[in-house]
Amino acid sequence: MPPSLRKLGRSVERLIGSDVREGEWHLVGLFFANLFLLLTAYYILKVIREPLILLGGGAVSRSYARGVQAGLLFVVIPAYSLLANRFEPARLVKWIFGVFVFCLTLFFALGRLGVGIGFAFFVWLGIFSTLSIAQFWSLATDIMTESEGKRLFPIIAAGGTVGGILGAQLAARAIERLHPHHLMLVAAALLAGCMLLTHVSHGAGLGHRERVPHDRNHEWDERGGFALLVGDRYLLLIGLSVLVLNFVNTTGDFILAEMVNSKARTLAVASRKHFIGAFYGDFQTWVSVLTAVVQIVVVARVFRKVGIGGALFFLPLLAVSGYGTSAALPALAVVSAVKVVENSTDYSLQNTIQQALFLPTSRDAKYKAKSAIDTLSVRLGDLISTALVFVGVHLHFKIFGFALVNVGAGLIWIWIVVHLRRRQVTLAMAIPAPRLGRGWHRYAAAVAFVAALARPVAARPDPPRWFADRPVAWQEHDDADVPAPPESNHLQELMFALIVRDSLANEADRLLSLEGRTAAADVNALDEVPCSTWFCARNHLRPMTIPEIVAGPAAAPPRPPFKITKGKHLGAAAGFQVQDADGHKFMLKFDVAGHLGMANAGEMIGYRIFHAAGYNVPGAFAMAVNPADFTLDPAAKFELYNVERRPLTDALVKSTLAKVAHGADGRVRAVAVPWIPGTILGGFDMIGVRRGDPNDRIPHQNRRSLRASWVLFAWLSVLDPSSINTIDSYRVEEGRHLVRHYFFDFGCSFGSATNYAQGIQQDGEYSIEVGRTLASLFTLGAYRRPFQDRRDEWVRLTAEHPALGYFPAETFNPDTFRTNQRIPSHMRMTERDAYWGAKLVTSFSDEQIGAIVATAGLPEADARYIDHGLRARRDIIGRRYLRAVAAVENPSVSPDGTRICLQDLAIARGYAQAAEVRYQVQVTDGRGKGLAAYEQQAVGPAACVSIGSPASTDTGYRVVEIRSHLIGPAGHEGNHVSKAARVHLRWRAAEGRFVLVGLERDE
Amino acid sequence: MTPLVTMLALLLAEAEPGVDPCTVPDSERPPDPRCGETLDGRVPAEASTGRKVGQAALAVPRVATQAVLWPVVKTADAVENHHVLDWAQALLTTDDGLVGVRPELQYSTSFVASGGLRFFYRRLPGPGSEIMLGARTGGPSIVHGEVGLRGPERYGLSLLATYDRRNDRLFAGVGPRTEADLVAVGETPSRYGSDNLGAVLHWSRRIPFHFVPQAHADVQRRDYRATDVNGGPSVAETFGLPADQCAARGLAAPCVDEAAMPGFNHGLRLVRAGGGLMLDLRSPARDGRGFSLATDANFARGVAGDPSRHVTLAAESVGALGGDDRVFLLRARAVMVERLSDAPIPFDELFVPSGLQDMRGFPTGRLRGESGLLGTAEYRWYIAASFDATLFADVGTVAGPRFSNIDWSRWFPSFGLGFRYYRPMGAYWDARARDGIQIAYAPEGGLRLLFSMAAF
Repeated sequence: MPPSLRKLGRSVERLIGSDVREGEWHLVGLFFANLFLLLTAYYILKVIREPLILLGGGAVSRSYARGVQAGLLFVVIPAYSLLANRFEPARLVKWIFGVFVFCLTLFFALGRLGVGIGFAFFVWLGIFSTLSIAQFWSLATDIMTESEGKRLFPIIAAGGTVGGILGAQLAARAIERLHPHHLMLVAAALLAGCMLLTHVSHGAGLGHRERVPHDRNHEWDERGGFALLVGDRYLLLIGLSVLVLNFVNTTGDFILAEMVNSKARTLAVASRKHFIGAFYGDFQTWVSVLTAVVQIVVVARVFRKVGIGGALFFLPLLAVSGYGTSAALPALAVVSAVKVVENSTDYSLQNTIQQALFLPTSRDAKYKAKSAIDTLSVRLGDLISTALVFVGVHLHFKIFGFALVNVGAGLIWIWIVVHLRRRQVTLAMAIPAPRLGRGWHRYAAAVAFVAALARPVAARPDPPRWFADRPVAWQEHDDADVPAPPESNHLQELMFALIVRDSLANEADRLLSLEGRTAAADVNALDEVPCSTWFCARNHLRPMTIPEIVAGPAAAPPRPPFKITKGKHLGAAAGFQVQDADGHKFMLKFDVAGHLGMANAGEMIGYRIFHAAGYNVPGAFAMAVNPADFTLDPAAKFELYNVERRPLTDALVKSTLAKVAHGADGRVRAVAVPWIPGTILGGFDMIGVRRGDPNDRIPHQNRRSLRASWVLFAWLSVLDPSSINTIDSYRVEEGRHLVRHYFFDFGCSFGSATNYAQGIQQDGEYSIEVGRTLASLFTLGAYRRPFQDRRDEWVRLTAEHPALGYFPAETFNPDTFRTNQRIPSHMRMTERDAYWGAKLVTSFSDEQIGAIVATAGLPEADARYIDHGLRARRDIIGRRYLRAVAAVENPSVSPDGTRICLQDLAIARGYAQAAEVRYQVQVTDGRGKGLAAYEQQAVGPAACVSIGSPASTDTGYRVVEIRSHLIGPAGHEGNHVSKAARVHLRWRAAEGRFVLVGLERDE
Repeated sequence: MTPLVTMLALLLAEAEPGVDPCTVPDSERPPDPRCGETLDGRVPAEASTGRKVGQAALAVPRVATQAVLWPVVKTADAVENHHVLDWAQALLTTDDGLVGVRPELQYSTSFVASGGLRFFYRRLPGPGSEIMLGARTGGPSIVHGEVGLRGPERYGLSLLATYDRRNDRLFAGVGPRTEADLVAVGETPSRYGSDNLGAVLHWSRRIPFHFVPQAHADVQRRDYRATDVNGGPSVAETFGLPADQCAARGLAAPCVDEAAMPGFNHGLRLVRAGGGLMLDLRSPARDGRGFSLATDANFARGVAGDPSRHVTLAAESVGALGGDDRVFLLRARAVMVERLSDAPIPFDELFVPSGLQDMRGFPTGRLRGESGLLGTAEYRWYIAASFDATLFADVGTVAGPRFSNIDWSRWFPSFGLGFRYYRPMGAYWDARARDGIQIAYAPEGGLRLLFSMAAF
């Protein structure tokens, strides 16, 4: 490239804040010019469309035309998808431009012949404007990688900004000299230029793709744009975001128009038209100027600083604060300022973001789904806004009402963007390693790879937090004496109130507080959970023997006969409080007749698994009780309707026993749960701490032991793991008063809802799902939950095992599993917490699982069903979570101080094969300075990686970051790079070597 | 060291009693929360600048959202914590749950709301049998009382006696007249009052081959009045006669023109009997498909001086295209009232296609005719385990005897959106709809809110 051009290029880069690499200017120039011509043509056509439609049919026709546009899109998009399935989409883009050129010449000819083309032209232009720009960006996202798009899209989009301004100015001047029909020819010529540039860009793009690996063997997905859109959550979230954006924008346009009209009505009739014209003239000028400034100066810098994911929040936050201000201060100046900022941000930053969101998607999504989103979502947003205006006018909404609706829509938008960002970050992280070619290509690719890896490290704003050189904490010391019992509650009796609190208020607060991913606070320097009154690790740190695991928590088994002391009033299962022959208190729970094992299998198995994992549970004993072994305490009572105490009579006991499951010998099948000793304080909340308990220092929502319990609950398919099934007990242990925290009641496990099989929706959805409900509502049922396609499986499994419930094995997907409500601690579980939870689950061997299932005493077929389900689900959890994060365990520094040796838990437990794992290792000095970066093939469950020089660095600290790159089709995830594990080392001067001080993982 | 050995070593080291752990040098002890330290020994991470800015920007919406939601949370908490609903059930129901009282509320736009209680007694032989007493009121002019007896389900018999007094009933003439038509002749939808007393004996039962026969007999007494009405001008103002003409007819003023409202001035005394047959091939599932066809004939004869004699014939078909948690329903209904004597058909016995179960965008009584046609298209889809959404369009018209003078340009459309509530226990597709709410819109009627759901 000539030096002058190079200098110009650098100036442009500095101005825009982009970073154009060697060899990319050619492509950037082509796309810049293409978009420039396209937007110039569009803005010329936009100017001439108004006189054509208004002279042809008036404002009413305009409104109808928008409706026809929306309807036509239902035909155009599927047709486009069909064409995209048959022809190479990049070529298709070129030919579609050709069609548009042909249409314009046709309109010109018909117009000159005196045919009324206004309505048809308006409809055509609406489809052209969205489809042509959508196609352009589809081609751009197809050719460029995610990192290239982030760097280059702002500069390309600037072409569109400049083209738009120029096109509008050209048309405004030319329309005084030329007939609108002639301007169509001008636009057609510009589009012909676009066609040519697309052809050249396509050729340049093919060459570019040779240098940057793409999947050559791509097989086209036969589904159309709409099917892709509703079948992929990421695309659906983009579509919803675009829909809400347009809804907010169009409603905002209406608010502004209303304020302008109100102001105009205060003026003399003669000056109203001039006022409105002048106002909108100034308004558009401000929008254009600010758009250009933001596009040229701000967008690239925002992308670099906060990334695409962070940039997503700008416009929604702006909308909420802007329309909130407008609601509070409904003045024309305020609303105009809000609209200027909103529109210019939309046309510049948001527009660029929207194109960049498609960078990590498949080719099918880039062409077909993108067209659907860029056309239909836009129009739907407009239409819904129109409907709102219609209803609002009828209901006499004031500006305040419309502005408030926009604030509400903005909050929904933020919720969508939170989920969208999460997905975008996950997709963008799956960076495929460059395919190492032969000879110098291998070297160049490796250097580029290392440089690319080094970039995020170099750009990381804060250094990683350092560990101190201290012993590792294995005790939380939350067992100090608490002389007075802490405050008690009735959480174990609340279900509906907790669903409302946690699913609505707490969730809204969590999202609006931008809590993000926070690290759990009950984690030691080796990323383990120390022993506490909540949890004390058992099986995963020290494998338990079969007798230990079958025995469960220490408790004296019940000995009949039983004296019934109280009826059971809480929970769905029938039962009694009893005292056995030794005076020990138990809760006796029964299965309902015809469902032997439905509730009690869950109790027997769930208690043992949770105890073996390390949690506090009271335990359970399976029994077959002779009805004659029951006696009734004369003072026994039960609570009718949960409130009225009534004497428990023989007749009631007999009628209860008549409805429960009996064995063939007439004995009643029951599970006896020992009474938890101590003073019961009620359930523990999944958020906050218990008042009056000084040992309860860590907010419960930040406890990993509670967060990651979700993984165990998902494994066992537990329906209701909320506070209703927890107990805090204030008691004396070793002379100290303290509170110990228990989980209990696993009757709703394995697809059981205690007395009937859980519905499939209970396995896959919270009781309150605002987002999904709204998605189903506004898509008229097109949006489907994952479980809606598994009806046949539910019918089959519940028919095969009618006594139990729906407990899918191979089709279990932990990502779609839901309990019945959003538990605050579960909602804050990070991948790092889930990895730890998966360690607990995968620590159970087949033998241990078999032994635990045997304690439930189920019929053989049912026992096999549960056993198989537990093993299959355990393995699915292992593949899902142990491959998502680098499964580094038990790191240690080699004697010579040059290496770290570790265990790869994913390989050790069979969830990855050594042949498919390559470790990507980066060593830094703890302040971001890179010391070494390399790849290393795994050879087995153990590995040693070099830390570079064994000598100390300036900082005396070293961080060894390890990611597992899993290659190949084996397993659950296929080709992807895991989140990182980081081993922290400190220089110990006394020993002259680095020592291990900590292990952490990406959240 | 392996974690286990480390743990044991530390436990031994920590066994020294009486020593304040925080006085031990950091390098010799693990991080301890008792000393204000985190368990991993690191300083907690601070929020990034971007996050702080975002949190500041969202501070107001956050506070506003909590201000709205926390009262809801606290209310739910108080209700559940104090077992309010359980106490209500306990106070209103006997121990065996077979006898009790329940509150009732009825509302639809354009009519006065009424609330009351319903008493049930189910300590009767045969499952499904019940004695019921109900009473609702919306003021002294809106009173509804009923007494019912339902036999065991296997017999399908029920007997219901009702007394219904309202002063906001609607009449807008007979025939397919739009608002513009009414205004052109100086009329408007008007109100009247009536005291309706009736008793119905009904039998219905599903028999093999998907047939559901039904039979019914009832007696009706209705007394109408044109004074002290609510919700609009009285029918006496719109369809009334001058005082001298009332006097000439021996009627107290104000009186109503019998030509416009046959049977108004003298009331209605009828005995009716009829029966019908339905072929029901529809699946009972929530998204069930199928088809049903029902016909009904109801013969009415005046007693105690009432000269009326007529028969009402009705046919209805419902087709449902369903599956995959969605169902599209098409319903067509045709009704004709055939005079069997010279006496005119009482206005209150004409076909009324407007109202909660038919043309939902129009209030009950807006349209009346000797015959009429009604069509509905309704799309229902799953939005949550407990809710289906519905979009519907109703269109209908009324005509003269035997569908004569049907004006194909005079169809009255209404559209709407609704929600149906379910309480699934297990498979959600097997749940039955319990209640619903609908918002209907008609171009000339505006928006109407209905606490009801379609019965088909």
